[in-house]
Order: sequence, then structure tokens, then C-alpha cells
Amino acid sequence: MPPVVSNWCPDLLVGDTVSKPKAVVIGAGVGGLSSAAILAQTGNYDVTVYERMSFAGGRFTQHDHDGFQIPTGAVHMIPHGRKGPFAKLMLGKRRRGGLELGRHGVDFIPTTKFAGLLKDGKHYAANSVFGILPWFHLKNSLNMPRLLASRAKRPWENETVDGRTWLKRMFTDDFIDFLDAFSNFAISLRFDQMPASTVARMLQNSFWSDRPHVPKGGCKGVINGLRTDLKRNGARVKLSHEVTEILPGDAEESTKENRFCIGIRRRGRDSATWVGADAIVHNGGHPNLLDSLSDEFEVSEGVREQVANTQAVGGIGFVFDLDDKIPHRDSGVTMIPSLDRVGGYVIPTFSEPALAPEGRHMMITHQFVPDPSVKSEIDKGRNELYEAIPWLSDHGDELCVHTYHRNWPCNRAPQGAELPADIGVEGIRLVGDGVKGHGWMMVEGIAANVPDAVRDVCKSIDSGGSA
Amino acid sequence: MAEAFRERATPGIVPVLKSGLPHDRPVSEGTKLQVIDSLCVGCSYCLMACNDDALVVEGLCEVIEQNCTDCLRCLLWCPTGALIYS
Repeated sequence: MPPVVSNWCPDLLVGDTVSKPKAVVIGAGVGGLSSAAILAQTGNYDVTVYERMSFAGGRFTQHDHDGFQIPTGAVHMIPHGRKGPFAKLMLGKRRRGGLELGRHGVDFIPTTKFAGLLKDGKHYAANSVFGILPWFHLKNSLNMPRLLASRAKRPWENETVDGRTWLKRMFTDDFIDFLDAFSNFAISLRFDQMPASTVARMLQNSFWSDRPHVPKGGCKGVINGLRTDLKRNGARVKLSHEVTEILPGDAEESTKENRFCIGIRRRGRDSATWVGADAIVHNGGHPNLLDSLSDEFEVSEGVREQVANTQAVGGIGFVFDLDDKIPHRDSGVTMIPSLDRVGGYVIPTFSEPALAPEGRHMMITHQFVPDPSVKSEIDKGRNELYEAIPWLSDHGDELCVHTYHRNWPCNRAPQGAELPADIGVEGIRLVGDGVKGHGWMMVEGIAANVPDAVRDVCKSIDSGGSA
Repeated sequence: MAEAFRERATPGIVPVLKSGLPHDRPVSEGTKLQVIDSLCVGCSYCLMACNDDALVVEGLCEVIEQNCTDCLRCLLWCPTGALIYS
């Protein structure tokens, strides 16, 4: 491992810094960029992010389509608002492990309501979790403390009870259906697909959290903030660069001082170049990591099997263009519990009007995918939406439908069956939606895992450097 | 880790990364934009990138050859490498 200053030569100069240990981040999703930002803020490492695609942000960004900021996956929502791990990581003070991205204009705007319910064509909205409870039988309110008191900070050992069966002991069916629709919207899974401890923890986290927030300028606002921060701290983000192989450092002469030798191929070029790395933060999912990792690194059969047996979670989302005359006037997530496929919808433009052209609104729906035939699933979802939302056909136009499956899923591992961030190779840690913290959903789960992964990687570099 | 729940999620196997696909500009005449169906997820990002109405996505992406101007904006947006130019 390289000492902090050694073999001084111009090749090793990066800006005004002298050869620092090299940290490479693979994948410029929100997990990868925030890991890179933490590493770069320390000032101790030479940080480079490689991204296969031509844009940064992965499923947490947006594309502009005639003034509509259409999300690539994350529905412009930060589920736990300012109290969740995501806000702590992005906006928190540096001494508390945050990135202080507020300096770069990153901000979160609260939704105008906590949550909503669409039942039999009628819309209800609540300002807090306590506003939801009166919609259902009193039994649910009385049993809420039982849910909150359940010990679920860690997954229960060898559990076989699914979330729905477990909740049935406490709550009425219509209340569970409402929560289930929320789970469908947020993480593309139903309660009967998840272990009870995950469901319990997820609901506890939601109960104690803030109302959902919309990032200012949409998801890309956060990504731009991260990129500005990276640039200021001397880190590079290389787009359209694909990782082909990860080898031990001594595989190539130029990288023999480093722990890893990474093959990087720029899109459109045939040959790969080799770059050295002392630590890797991988944001591209376990299957992709294992595929590029050389056999010289030992990964236990157990981990390989676990990865091979884990299926990514698919989802389908519609984006609608709405006029300003819609009767629905809030940006809270609205659940539609009665439907087979669709979980709910959100109209983030009531919090952040910049996400749509003036005088228009954008509605984003989400549904889980129980059947692999995507085309029929899209049709089912569309029919359900037009049937359940009475004003949709008069006030809305479908802009596009996004599907997420195969190598571009909603989540690379299902909530409750997350994969380990550590696959047993010293100096490599995974981040992203395959390795979420227990019970944290969406970006909150990604953010919950990032600080630990980065800390491990730093420790590994620092101990390697002194050896 | 809840082993019992691993297989309950959405059907559809996670494929291996198709690294090294020929992605970009033409090398010889006759090269055209094509879709690898096994990689396409039908996400519609290519549709949003295309200014020439050269793509349709209904379940999976299809190229309308006579409209395609080979600008390859779609290819840059494709998240899974399903669009190739060869």
C-alpha cells in the first residue's frame, strides 16, 4: 500500500495534491455519489467516481421532457423528510456525519399533507399520522402502541412469519390494506412478501418520522449538490466509463503500488485502461460486482449463493400531465388500497412547482409487478388508475410509463432480504439499494448504510497504508 | 437475514452485466440502431431522448428505422445497454 507521500512524480499529481491513497467509487447513483462526497470531504483520499451511463444519479435523478422533470425512479420523494437518515446525511452538520449540502443549494420542501387515501372515489388527506387513524376502526388506534413497542431494531432470527400475518394480530384488514398500499408505492413489495420484523421496523420508522419531503429542483437538485461538492473537494466523476474487471493491484505494472487494478472502458472504445485503487465503494449491485471481480479474490460460496438467489424487485410507474383544475390539491402520497396492482400516486408539483411547466402538474404512480409479463402489467395498472381516480380521464394525459426490472430494477434486493455490504474482500464495500439498513425504505435505506460502508473503507485504506 | 423471504419478490432473474457490448458510433456501413430484447426493460428513457419519433416502447423498445437519424441520444440514456449501434 502506498505511503501518503512516496515516489513523487508528476504523473501522480492531481491538482495541487500529492499522491494520496486512491478511492474508487463504481456507480454514480445517490449511494455512490454520497460515499464519494464523504471520502472527498476528508481530504485524505484521491477520489474518482466511474459511471457506466452518460448521466449521474442513476434512479435518483430526472430528465426534462417538455418542461416536466420526469424522475428516473425515485418519484421526487424523501420519505422521512428532515428527520430521516437521508436528510441527516445530505443536510446534516459535518461533525455529525453530514455533508452540509445546504451550502450548494440543496433543500427539501415538505409535502403539503402527510398522506392521503382514495377510497370509493373519495379523497381524504391527513396532516400527521394521527390524522390517519380516525379513518379506521378504533381497534387500530388502540393497538398502535403494541406496534411501536415491538422490538424490531434488528431482524428477528429465523423468522418465517410474514408482515401481513403479523399485523393481522393487531389491526383490521382495511387498515392493513392502507399500509400495504403504502408499501407497494414506496418499495414495490406487499407485506406478505416481507418478514414481519422488516414491516414492523419500517412502520415504526414512518411513524416517528417527519412528513415526506420533495427535494428542491427534484432529485437532480440533490445530485447537482453532490457533484458541486465533489468538484470543490477535488474528486472526479467520469461518466460513460464502464468497469470491466477488478484485479489485484499487482496484475499491472502501473498499479502495483495499489491494492486493486480496475479495468475501465470508455463507451465507444474497444480497449480498457487500467487504474489503481486502494479501496472500492461499489454502487452497481452484487451481481455486477461479482461478475467483474477476478477469481483471485476469495468470495465465499455462501455469499455467491445468496447473491444468485436474490431477485431484484421490479416496478412500474406512470407519469401523468395534469391541468391546474384537478380537484386533488396536495402533494402528500395518496394510497389507493382497493387495487390489485397500483399502490398510490403523488403530485409533487404542489410542493415544488418547478417540476412541471407553469400551470401544469405532474402525477407519478407506482405499482408492484407480480407477473413477469410487463406489457400486461402495464395495461392492468393503466385500467386500474382510470377506474379508481375519477378525475383522471378529464384532467390528465399520460406522459410515459417507466418500467423497472432485470438489470434496472426498483431495488436490487427486496426489502427484508438485503445482501451484505461486505462480501468478504478487504477494501471493497457495497452501497446502494441492495444493501439498505434494516427497515429503512427508499433513499433512507441507502443513506442509512453509506456512512458505515465508507467508514469501513477508510479503515481498510488507513490500516493498509501503515502496514 | 430472512432466507424465507428471498424468493417472494418479483419474478425475473437478475442478469449478469453484459460488459463489453459495442455501444457507439458506426464502424462500417450498414450499422444501425438495434434493441437487445433480453436487456431492454421498457423503461421509456430512450423515448424521452428521441426527437425524431424513431422509437416506440410498448412493453419493450422497438426502432422505427425510417425515422432514425442515427443521433444516438437514446443510446446514451439507455440504462441497461439494450440499445446498440452495430
